[in-house]
Amino acid sequence: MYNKQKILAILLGLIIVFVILAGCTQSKAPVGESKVRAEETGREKIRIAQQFGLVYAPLMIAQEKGFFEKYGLEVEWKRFGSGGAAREALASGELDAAFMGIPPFLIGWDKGVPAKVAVGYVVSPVSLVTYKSEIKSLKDFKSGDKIALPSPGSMQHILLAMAAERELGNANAFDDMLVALPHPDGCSAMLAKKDITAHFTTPPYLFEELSQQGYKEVLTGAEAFGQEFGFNVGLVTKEYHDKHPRGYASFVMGVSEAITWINHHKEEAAEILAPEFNMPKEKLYKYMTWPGLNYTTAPYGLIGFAEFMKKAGYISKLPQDISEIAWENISAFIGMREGSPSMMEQLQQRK
Amino acid sequence: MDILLEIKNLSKIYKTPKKDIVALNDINLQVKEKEFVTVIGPSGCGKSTFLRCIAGLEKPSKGEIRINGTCVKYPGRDRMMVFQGLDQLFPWLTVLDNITYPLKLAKRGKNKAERKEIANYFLKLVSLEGAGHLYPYQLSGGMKQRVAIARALSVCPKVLLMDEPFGSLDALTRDNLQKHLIKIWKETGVTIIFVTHNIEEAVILSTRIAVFSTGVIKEIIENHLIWPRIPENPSFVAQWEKVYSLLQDKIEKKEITNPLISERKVNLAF
Amino acid sequence: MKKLFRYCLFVASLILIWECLARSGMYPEYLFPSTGKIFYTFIQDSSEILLRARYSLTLIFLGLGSAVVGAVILAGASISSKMVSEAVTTLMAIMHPLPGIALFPIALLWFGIGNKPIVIIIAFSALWPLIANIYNGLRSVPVTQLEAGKILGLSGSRLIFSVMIPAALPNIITGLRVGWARAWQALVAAEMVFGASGGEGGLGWLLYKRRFMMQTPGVFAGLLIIIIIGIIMENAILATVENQTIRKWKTTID
Repeated sequence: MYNKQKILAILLGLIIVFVILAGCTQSKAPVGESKVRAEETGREKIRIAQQFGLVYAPLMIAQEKGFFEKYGLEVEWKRFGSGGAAREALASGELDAAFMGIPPFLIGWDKGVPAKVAVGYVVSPVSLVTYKSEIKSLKDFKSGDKIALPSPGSMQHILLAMAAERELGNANAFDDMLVALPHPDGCSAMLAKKDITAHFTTPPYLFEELSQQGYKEVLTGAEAFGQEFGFNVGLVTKEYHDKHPRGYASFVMGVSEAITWINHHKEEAAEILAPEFNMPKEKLYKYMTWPGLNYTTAPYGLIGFAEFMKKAGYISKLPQDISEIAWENISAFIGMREGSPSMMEQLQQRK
Repeated sequence: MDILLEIKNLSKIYKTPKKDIVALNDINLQVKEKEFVTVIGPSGCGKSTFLRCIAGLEKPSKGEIRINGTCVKYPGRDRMMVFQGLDQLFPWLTVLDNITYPLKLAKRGKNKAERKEIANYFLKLVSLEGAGHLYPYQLSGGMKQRVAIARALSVCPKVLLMDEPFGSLDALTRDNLQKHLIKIWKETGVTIIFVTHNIEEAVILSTRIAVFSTGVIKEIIENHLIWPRIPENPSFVAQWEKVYSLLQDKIEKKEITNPLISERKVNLAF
Repeated sequence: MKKLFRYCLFVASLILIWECLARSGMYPEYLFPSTGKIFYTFIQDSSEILLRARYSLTLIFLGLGSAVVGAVILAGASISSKMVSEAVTTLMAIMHPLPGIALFPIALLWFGIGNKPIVIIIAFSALWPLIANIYNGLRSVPVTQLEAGKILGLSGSRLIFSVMIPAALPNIITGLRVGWARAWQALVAAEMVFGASGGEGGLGWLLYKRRFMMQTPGVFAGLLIIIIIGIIMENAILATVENQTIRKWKTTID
């Protein structure tokens, strides 16, 4: 009798704990909070993820120059170590907007994370670099070689799989050679010529490695994909998009203005950001003007990634049309040409 | 009979930062084979230190200990010791293994079976036949001490050192074990040095009683009462009083000379 | 038996509450997958999960094994020499509060990328609790047993292995338990901070991969095997060792 009572008590306790936990999560939901604030102040508020790296230069400039504030948007910046972490924050409602590669975004979209592309952001060089003279193409990698890239499911991982499929006929050919390393660690391992043979990386680490004697590109992102593609896209959650139309519009305009400004003021931008990146402004300027780097809100390659990832099994479904993965401003920008696809539509595909 | 154990000018001084403590001061003693010597004295008189020096657990500051003429400095299986503590058996070994293990160390017995046989013989000697499979925690205090005695005897030591082995037992068990010990001593003829602070125990057990007093042997009393020794016998009582007066005398004197330890119990435990 | 029944009932009710919450639709699958989905993933992925588990266990036994050897040597040396004891105690005061994973960047620098830094972090994490417990155990060996051993002619390493270690076994097992837990934590953490490589890699790498692919049921399946290994280690292995030793000898208080 006593035991039964005890069990019942434990069960009841557990249920109460769970209900309370559930209640907490609910009350933490971002919407109500920001809505109240918006009404109170007449200003919109947005929580944006920011990671590290050269590609975040426009965001840093926007912050410096107050481009979001100009449109009445108050920004709460949240720092994340990786796109994966930013995606998790997006999924749990801790964030309204984030920037990440198309593949990590598509993985999240496939699993039901309610966010879509709001802006294109940057087209950037991304390459597989090696210091081994005998490696001239993907075919020259032997078992025992190690290829470092940021994480499974990252842009670099998918590009490597694309190239492996194209050149070796097997998308998973390199899976046993992969080492997941954050960019800085991968870069220092490369410079030490220790542990890894090749590194699939982005600026500034890419530039750093390529400026060394004997380091060369085995594969560029454009070769793997077939044409140019957006390295990063800006996402906004459904919740924020639906309930804060003014905030959403301000976000898009803020990013657009920052990108336009940086494209026209690279020298000044290098001077402003040099301390942030902890490098001389001349070097930063050189990096920001590297051939191939293009800050642009236009999206490139959205469908090309999705199709490959579906085929290779990284995602389970395909977007039926672009509006499934992009908000109105982007799908309107791409358009829907009757008959054969338009130039913009073709840019979303692989070649 | 030959002299088995010879202790010459044995001194033990403990050095402390404040002052040196003299535990043993120039002790001389000769023990013949098959003798049963008890060492008696109040706590702190150095009787345990004396025994531990013989065992090799303490290093003498001066003097030497000889067994059959050979000087001994380290512990050895020719001098086995039974302690007062009830935790001296190895709790991770069965009673039988507690005995066969030293046998193995002493290289007695050709194989396991033979060692088991020897161990069983000694268990029988202490009337514990059939308890071999038990673990120490399953034994009473008296049984534990009997196993300890069997363990010590099994390696055939030249001398058996016993440091108040019955001190932690109740009176009835102690009586019982004393009788047992006399029987074992008579049967095996082992030489025993037995430390106690109980006068009755000393008179019942031994052939000689060495009365200790702060680091020196005050007197050695021959004790040749006939067996069985019954405490009510007048001769027993006389012997008891003789030891008692020696100890008493010492304590009174001490109280005069050293008031620091006057709180020590005058009434000796017995 | 009754205890086992209660145990099962408790676990079953936990699963039930989980399932209710998962099915309530309050949370999307990528946050809170249903138990069915988790078990399904567990079965479907079992060959990879077992492979990863085997890999992790190999690393842990390498790390924990060297930590035990190191701890026995250091604790033994501390018991025999006052100077070593002071040095080890000081070192322990400095190192014990340091989470092994915090040393990971240094280990990567010194030992390169691969298993070596992971094994070293595991060994480091387990070493200090092991030394602390073994040293305490050796110090608390009853003096009488120690002297009984000496009287029987034992000295040096034979005294340590034949008397001190069996006598210190209750503490040593406690040390192993803490050491195992710390080693396990270090392993999973290290593999998640730095994933190792696709072909190799243990359970931490599995979680890491599933996380980046947003396969939340897969993450839970990985957690499930970690829990199962923990339960097996605690209830099957450590408990058996205890039952065969210190519980059998009654040298511990239950």
